[in-house]
Amino acid sequence: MKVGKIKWLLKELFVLKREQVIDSETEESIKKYYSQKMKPVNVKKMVMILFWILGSILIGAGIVLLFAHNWNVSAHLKAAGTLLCLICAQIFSGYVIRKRFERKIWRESSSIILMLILGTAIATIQQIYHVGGNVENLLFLWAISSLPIIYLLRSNSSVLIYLAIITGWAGVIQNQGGYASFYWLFIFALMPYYFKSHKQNLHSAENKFLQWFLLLSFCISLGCVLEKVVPGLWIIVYSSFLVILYFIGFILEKDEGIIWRRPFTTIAAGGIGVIAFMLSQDWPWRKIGLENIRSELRFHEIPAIIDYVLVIAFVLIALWLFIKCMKQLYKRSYDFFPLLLLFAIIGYFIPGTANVVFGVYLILLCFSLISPVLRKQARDISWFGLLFLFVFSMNKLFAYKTESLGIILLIFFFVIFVIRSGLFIDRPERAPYGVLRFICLFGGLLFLYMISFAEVIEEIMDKAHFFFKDILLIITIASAAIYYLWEFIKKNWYIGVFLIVLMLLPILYIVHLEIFAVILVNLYLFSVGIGITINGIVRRNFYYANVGILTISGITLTRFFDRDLTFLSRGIIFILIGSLFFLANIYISRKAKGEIK
Amino acid sequence: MKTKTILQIFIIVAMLQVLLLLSIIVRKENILRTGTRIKIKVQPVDPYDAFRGRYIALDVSYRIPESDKNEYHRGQKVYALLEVDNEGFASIKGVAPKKPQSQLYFKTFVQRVNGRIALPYDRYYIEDSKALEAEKAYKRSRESSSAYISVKIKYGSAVLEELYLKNIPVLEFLDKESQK
Repeated sequence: MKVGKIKWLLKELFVLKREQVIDSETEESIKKYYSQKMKPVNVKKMVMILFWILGSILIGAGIVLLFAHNWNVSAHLKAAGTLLCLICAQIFSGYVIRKRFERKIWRESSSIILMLILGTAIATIQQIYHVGGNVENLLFLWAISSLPIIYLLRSNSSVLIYLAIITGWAGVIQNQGGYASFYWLFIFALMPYYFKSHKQNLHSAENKFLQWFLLLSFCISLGCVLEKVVPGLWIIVYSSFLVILYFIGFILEKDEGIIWRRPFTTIAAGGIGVIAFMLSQDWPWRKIGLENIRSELRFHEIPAIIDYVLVIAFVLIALWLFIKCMKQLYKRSYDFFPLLLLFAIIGYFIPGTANVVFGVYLILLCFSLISPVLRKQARDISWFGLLFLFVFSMNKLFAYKTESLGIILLIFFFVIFVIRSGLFIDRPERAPYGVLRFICLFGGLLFLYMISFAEVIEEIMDKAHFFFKDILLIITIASAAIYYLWEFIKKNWYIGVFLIVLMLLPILYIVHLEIFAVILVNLYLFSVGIGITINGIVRRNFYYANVGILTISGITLTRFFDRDLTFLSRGIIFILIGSLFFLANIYISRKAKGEIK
Repeated sequence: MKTKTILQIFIIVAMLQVLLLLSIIVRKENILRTGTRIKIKVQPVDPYDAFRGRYIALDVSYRIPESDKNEYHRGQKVYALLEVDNEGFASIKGVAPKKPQSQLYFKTFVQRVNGRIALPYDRYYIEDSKALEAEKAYKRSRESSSAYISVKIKYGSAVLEELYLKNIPVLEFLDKESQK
């Protein structure tokens, strides 16, 4: 039996026991039997790989920044240094292939560093010879020269970097009026790697990771590679593409559990929601919907053929999948996601009322999603329905000032969220307290992150008279304060200090010492990061140590964007933090091994 | 595939990667050593590139005249034709869709709908700490119209050689200014 089905069964056991279909003993024995069937996932190892990847990215980015300093030395010396740096990274990767090939962490880290240094080397050579601003040339060379690294080092993180490069390349090319059709060749070159991973283990976390990034890259780049010779053709192409993804998800991901294990369904559902939301507005139809983006220019005949092929192929595949899945799809409930294509076609051919058609579609979609919650059969995807409905109602509320409708929808949203919440219905083990705790923690962190920017704190305070922001601010502060007060009572000192910081902020603002408020928040977050890291290392707690370093890197990276630091100091900070990730993880894993022995 | 085979392929790939960079270097060096030297007057802005660091953006833009604009489309490859005035400064006199007979030209493409063409010499990269200082000096020189760049041109490729402020290379100029 598949893991997804076992998980479903284990969840269902609770309901069966509650409804007194089975007794506790039967529940326990079934649980025991199926738990053994599930292959334990080494979460710790997975997270550790993730942190190693993060460390490598930071070190690689640090090296990029050191090069970007434009050292004031002769061009030849600079070129020689660049080549030497690349050769060192290549030797390191060669060493990994020769000696450490079986160790995934080594392969991932070395491939990230090699790929980033390769990009940096190309950029530096361009910098030495003052090559103009054509980034597409840089990205193109980088993508082509780094492709073999993916296959040779068999590294998923290098796929991520590669996808980022080619997606960026497609975007830049599109922006400059060029032809991004080469994107398909780049993707085609990646397919053998993907299918090998797909064949090895369809349900593995690594395969899911690849699917997520491939699909995201597709979704972004699809608009860039279209030649746009027929006005608004992108609406049909995107709609049919998302519907295809939805059907693939419906076929392949039926037994998968949580959202992150269902990239096809999640991206398709999210994409359909976003497209429906966009097209329910007036502006996309006026500005990009039926306007020929290249109306003032001649188009290229060959990429234009791809447009026609895509639209015909996508629509036919979507229809074929619809017929294939129709019986299963509508057996139990009404699923409105695949109907996007139908509405897109109606909207496309009757443009005058298109936004109204999509408004209706969006409401139907939301209610079809929420209906399981009302019947006490919460599904994860129901949250999308709530989210869409909320965003849609908020948008309409502010766009047309139909306050009563907006308020009714908001109340409706609130009632569903609190009373009929799927989380409370079929997962009582996650009591409201757990959810509150999560919301508070998340709210608190979000709030802190927001106010760690000097501009943001001023903006929030200045515009706080706007009622929504006021309420949002008060709720966030209050929820965070309640949570941290509770932590304070539990004698978690560093969280208790947060309360004091929080109280000081408005006071500092009132006495016009905003800059001290900003410094205080940054200092506080930094000290919390260091505190958690030290705590983690001392207690040999792998998660604590990494979350601590993550906090430190978060605050440092944030400063990267809003403080006028030189490239040199930024580079050094990046490399130091990246090294900290490596050292802390090596230390903890060695200690842990020692203890086991 | 065996590790040994992977390593062998990797060595070939690594060599190709180095060769790619070397080919760019050799090509640019060849132009710098043997290309035709021209001077172009410039105007500044000072942004930075996340990958390549700080640079002085040189405003030497050229637009295709209204009368010829319809013959070209955005993204089209063109040849920019250069002419040199009595003071020795070069400027773009026009664009052609086909390779010209003269030596003074460079390959480029139409960047904007308004007919603006992309230039191979619109950036002068400079050390991070000196960027601000250079920008100020550059702005002052621009006001007195004494900022120009020297560019080497060969086979339709152009490489920016140096940025001059008052006839002195920019870094030397900054050193002199700081000694004053």
